[in-house]
Amino acid sequence: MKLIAGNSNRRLSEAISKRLATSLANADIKTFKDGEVFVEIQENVRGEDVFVIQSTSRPANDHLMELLITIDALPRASASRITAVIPYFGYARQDRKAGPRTPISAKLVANLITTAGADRVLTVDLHAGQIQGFFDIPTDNLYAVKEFERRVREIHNGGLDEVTVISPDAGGVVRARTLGKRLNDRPLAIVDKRRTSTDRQRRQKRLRLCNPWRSFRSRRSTVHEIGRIKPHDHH
Amino acid sequence: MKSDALSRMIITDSIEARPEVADCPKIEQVPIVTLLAEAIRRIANEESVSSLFD
Repeated sequence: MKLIAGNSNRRLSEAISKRLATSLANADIKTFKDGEVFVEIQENVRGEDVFVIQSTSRPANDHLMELLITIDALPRASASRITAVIPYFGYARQDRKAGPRTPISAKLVANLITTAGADRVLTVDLHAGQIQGFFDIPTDNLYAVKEFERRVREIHNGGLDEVTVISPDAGGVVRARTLGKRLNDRPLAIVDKRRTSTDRQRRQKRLRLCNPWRSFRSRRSTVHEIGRIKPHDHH
Repeated sequence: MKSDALSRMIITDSIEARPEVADCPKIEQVPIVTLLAEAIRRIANEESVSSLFD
């Protein structure tokens, strides 16, 4: 097995390699002065099971190109299997036509990763599970729910009676419900977020917390508004 | 994050924290190294990954 780390998350890559009692393969992944990415794998990977670890986080395009170009080098170096390990999968939110004449960039990115030469994909809490279907290669989508559960239990070690899990939008409901279930089946609330055309012009959104607690218009972030909800708003 | 409305934000370390994030006392990262390392080990050994969540 060989682990190769892109530049997006060296800390996590190092931690993974330590946990697997191995070291990161020597690779030079750099950007030329003209902005082009260049990759040189500096050890033999012939016949190896290779994992390329790279989050396509900001700067998303540079990190994506690093991932693609690193993958490209591997079949050419006779690696036997290449798994793209993408802890944060950028572009995942662009998974449908959001309006007329808009792209489905998540599908394009999936195509690029496959075309570059990846044989498998491993990711965490994909924005929507269906994005796995954008790939025609095996994908594994991991869930970090146990990690969140552990931390919430540490914080509320006196009991979870005051905990409500709130999904900031419809897309997060499954994740929020799973967390709530693990937290002694605590209740779930869902923010119903919508924008009318005038809201769009005013850059505001309407939020309604379904239990229902309250309804309001806001220009601020959804998470900020959720934080302002007080327990007595609950009926 | 400067708002009083939020007392704490817990995120994973799937993205390496920028200095502003790392220095923010309200934001903490929970590590996902165990999850990823175990999944990689299982893929390499041709073991089930989905059973991690049974």
